[in-house]
Amino acid sequence: MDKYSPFTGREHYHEWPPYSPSDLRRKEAVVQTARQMLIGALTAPMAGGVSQIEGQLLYGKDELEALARKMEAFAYENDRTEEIYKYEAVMVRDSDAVLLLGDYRCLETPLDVGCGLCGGRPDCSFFYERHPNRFGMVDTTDRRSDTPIRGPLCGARVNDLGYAVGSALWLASSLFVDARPFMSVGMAGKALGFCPDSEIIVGIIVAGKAKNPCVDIFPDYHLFNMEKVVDVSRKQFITARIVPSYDYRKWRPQNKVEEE
Amino acid sequence: MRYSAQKACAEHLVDVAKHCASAFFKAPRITGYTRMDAEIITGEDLWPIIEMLGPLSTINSFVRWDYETFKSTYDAGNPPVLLLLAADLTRSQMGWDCGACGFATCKEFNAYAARNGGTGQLWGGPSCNWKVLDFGIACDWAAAAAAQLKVDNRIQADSGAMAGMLGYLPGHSAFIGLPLGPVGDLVWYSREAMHGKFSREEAMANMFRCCPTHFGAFPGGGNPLVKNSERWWETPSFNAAVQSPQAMAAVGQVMAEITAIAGKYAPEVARKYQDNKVPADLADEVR
Repeated sequence: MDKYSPFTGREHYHEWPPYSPSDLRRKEAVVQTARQMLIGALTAPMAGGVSQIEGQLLYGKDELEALARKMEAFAYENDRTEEIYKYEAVMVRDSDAVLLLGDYRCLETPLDVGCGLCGGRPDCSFFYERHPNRFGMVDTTDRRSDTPIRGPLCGARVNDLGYAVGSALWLASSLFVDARPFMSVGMAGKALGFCPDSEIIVGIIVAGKAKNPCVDIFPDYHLFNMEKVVDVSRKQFITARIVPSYDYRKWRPQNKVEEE
Repeated sequence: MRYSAQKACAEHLVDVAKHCASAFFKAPRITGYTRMDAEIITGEDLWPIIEMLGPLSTINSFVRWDYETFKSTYDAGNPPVLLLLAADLTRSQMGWDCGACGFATCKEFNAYAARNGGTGQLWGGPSCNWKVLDFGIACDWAAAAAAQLKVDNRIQADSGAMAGMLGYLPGHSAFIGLPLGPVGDLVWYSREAMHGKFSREEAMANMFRCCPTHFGAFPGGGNPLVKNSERWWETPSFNAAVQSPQAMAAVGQVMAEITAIAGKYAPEVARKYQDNKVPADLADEVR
C-alpha cells in the first residue's frame, strides 16, 4: 500500500472553551509559529554575525500558570511595577505560548568594541571595572546579586538581543499571530531558571485568538479580565438559577397576561 | 511611455526608506518611553558621511568594507538611500530597578548619567538596557521591512555614528545607518565593490592578527611557534603582545581628521535643525 494512501483527516478549530481539543489544535499551530519565531531570532542581524541568543518556549496551562505566579510574586517587590506585573501575568494566562529570548554573551563575553552604550566611554572600562575578571575573562560564577540582573551588561550585546526579539516579532506579525515583548515576563523566566546562560531575558507573549491578549487593557486588569469575568459569571448564574426553583416537568411560569 | 527600470528603482528607494521608517516607528516597544527619530539621507547629502568614513577605513576593516561600498556606488552615480535611525537611551523613566545598567535603582542610574554621560567610539552613554532593547527591536523592523521589499540593506553602526557626529538628529544618543540599495543581489554582502581592492596576503594577515591561535604550532612547550609561512619552522616566530604607540598615534590622527571633516559640514547640518526643538521629555525621569 502506498504509505500516503490513508492520508486524510478532520481538524476542528475553536478557541472556546479554552484547552478543549479544538482549542489545543489551535494552540499547537501557535506553538509552531513560536518555533519559527525562534529561528527568526537566530537569523537576525547581529554584530559580527556571532551567535549569542538562547531561547526557551513555554506552553500549556501548567507552564504558563507557573510563570504567571512568579510574575505576581514580583508585583509586591516594587511599587512602581506592581500593576505591570499583575496585568501582564493575566496576559500570560490568556496567551497560547511564551517565547523567552536571552543573550548569553552580554555578561560573560562582551563585544569589546568600546561602543559607549554601557558607560559613555570610548573603551569598555565601565563594564570591566564593575565585574571580576582575569585578563578580560569575566568570572560570572558568583551569582549572588542585590538586583535581578547583574549589571552593567554589554550594551552592544543587549542591542543585538533587541534585533533578535525584533525579528521574532516581525515573523509573528507577518503571520498575523499576536506577539509582544515584555520585561516582566523575561524577569520571571529568569527567576525560574529559563535561558540559564543569559543575564537578560525578554519574554514574548504569543497568541492566536480573536482578541490580542496584550492590548486594550482594562483598569485593574488583574481583577477585570476574561478569566475572572467567566468565573464570576459561573458563581452568579448558578445562585441566580437555583433560587426561583420549580419542577419543569409539571409546570412552567406564565406571563401575567397568560395567567389572566 | 517607457521607463528605465534601473532609474525607477533608484527613485523607488526613497519610498522603500519611508516604508522602513514606518516599520521603525511601528515596532513594538518594551518600555513605551523610548524616544526615537529617523531621517532619510540621499544623493549629495551622503558625501560628508562617506568622507568621514574614509580616514576611519584606514584603521578599521569593517569600516573599510562599508566605505568602499558607499564610495564606489556613489562614484558610479548609483548610491544607496541611507535611512538614519536614532534614539535617546540615556535616562530611565520606568523605575524598574532591574540592575542591568550596573546601578541598584533607576534613580541612581539617572543621577550618574546626568553627571557622567559621555561618548564612546560609536554612541553616547550610559544607557538604559530596556531602551537599548527597544532601539534594537525598532532597527530590526526597519531592516526587516527592507528585506520584505527585497531591497539589499545592512545595519551599520559606522555610517550612523558618522551622521551623529555631523550633528544629524540632535538630542539622541545612539545612531544606526541603514543603507537601502542600490538594487541588486548582494550589494552589502559578498561585496563586489571590494573586488581587486585587497590581496590574499592582506586577508591572511587580517586572519593572523584576529585569530592567532589558529596558526599555533605544538602548544605543549608553553611557547608555541607560529606558523607564519609555508616553511614556518625555518624562521621560528612567537606570539607576543606589544604596546604600539604608532598604532595609537594613527588612531589619534584619524580621529583628528574625522573631527575636522565633521567641523567642515556641521554648521550646514545644524542649519537643518535650527527651528527644531529637541523634545524635553525627560521631565518624568525617575529622580
